[in-house]
Amino acid sequence: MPLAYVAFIDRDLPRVKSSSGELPETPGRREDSFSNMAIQQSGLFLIEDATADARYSSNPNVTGVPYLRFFAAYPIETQGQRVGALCLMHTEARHLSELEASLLHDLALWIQNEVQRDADHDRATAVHRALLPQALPFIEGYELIGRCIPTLAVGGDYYDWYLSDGDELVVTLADVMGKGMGAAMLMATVRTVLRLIARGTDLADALQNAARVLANDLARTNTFVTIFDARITKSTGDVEYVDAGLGLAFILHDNGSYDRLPVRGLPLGIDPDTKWVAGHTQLKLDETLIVFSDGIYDSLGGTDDAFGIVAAHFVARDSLDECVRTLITSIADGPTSDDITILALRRTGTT
Amino acid sequence: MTSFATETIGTTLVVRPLGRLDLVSAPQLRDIIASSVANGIVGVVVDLHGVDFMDSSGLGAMINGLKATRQAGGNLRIARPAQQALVVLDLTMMQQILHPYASVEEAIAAP
Repeated sequence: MPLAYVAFIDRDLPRVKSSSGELPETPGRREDSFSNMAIQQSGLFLIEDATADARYSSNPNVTGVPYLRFFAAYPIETQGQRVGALCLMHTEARHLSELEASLLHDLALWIQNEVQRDADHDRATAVHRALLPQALPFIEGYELIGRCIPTLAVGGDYYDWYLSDGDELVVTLADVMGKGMGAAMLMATVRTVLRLIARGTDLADALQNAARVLANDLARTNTFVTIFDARITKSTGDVEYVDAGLGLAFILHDNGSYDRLPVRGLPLGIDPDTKWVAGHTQLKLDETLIVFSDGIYDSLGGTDDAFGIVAAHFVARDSLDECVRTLITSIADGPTSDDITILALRRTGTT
Repeated sequence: MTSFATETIGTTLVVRPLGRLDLVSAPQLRDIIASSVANGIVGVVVDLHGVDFMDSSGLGAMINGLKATRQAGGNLRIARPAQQALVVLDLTMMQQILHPYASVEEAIAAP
């Protein structure tokens, strides 16, 4: 019964992954486990005939099921820790040739790379999530929500908000061209620059400053960024906004009709001399400002019908959380190949 | 798989992507334009007629090509975008710098 499997060490016992179905070793004491022995050392762990070796001949895995005689393994490491092993076993004694040993080593390294990549991805996903606002702020007279679901482990989309001094709330949705780790690194940069620069100044000026700071990074990486940034005066509902190539922002009125926000300019990273102009509008009682990413636009057919479809999800007077949830569920059913991001701010007037 | 046909008309390279112009295929377009510029052909027309889907990465490759050709004293123009590509150009305001021409001939002849 020759068998190959990957064992990962849990706190107590080896946990077998990718086995061909049969249990390679009888569950028992950790110190009797051959995969555990393999993990305790580095490099090839090889027993060509366990019955001929006094160290193993009385091991319960040799004297009983699975009657192991041959065992070869390479440990798998991640972040400097041995976490498992790629194991080969046989119920007959046999010789492992140099070529076979080297193949086993290559396979173990390949698994190690996969495990490492997984760990990197998990970590990157956690960081990406941490860069998004964690809790919904309590804003008297308003309801606010944001969601960002990257296609890969991480992505170039993000949303952000902060309450500035006094009466103002700033909301941002941005989309760095591309997907995955590269886009996410730039997204983190863009977010930081916008946060640092946007405070206190006129929004169009702030964007100009951000574009200047980011110009080299974006040019060197051949990337552009689309941004929607709005500053809302809470007491009046006055909205000052800039739209750098996003084009996917609208105000949903209480009667279900909507108006797209018309003042738009080029994305960042196209032309260093771009000048943006701020647009002005007002969020009245029971109106909702909705901004979404091109991932949503494309999933909804890639035409301007997407505005109506998004709006329809928000017409019901449910909580914004519910509106966003139904929208995202409807999108998740279809083909999506891009990050899905949405931000919505409703002026409720009540607390 | 997106394929790219190329043709030199006069002193202009005409690139015809067929399929999707997205994250996967955009680097190919970038490479085609870069090697054209490296070979001294700095006038490029991208014929988008066969592109059924273009995303921001595809747009990025063309912006990149626009910069590369202009730096070398040339230009990049686009022709015959389908509705979907036109919408992307419109949303991003990029038609300001990538004017869509109705035909390859018009794009080549444009000043």
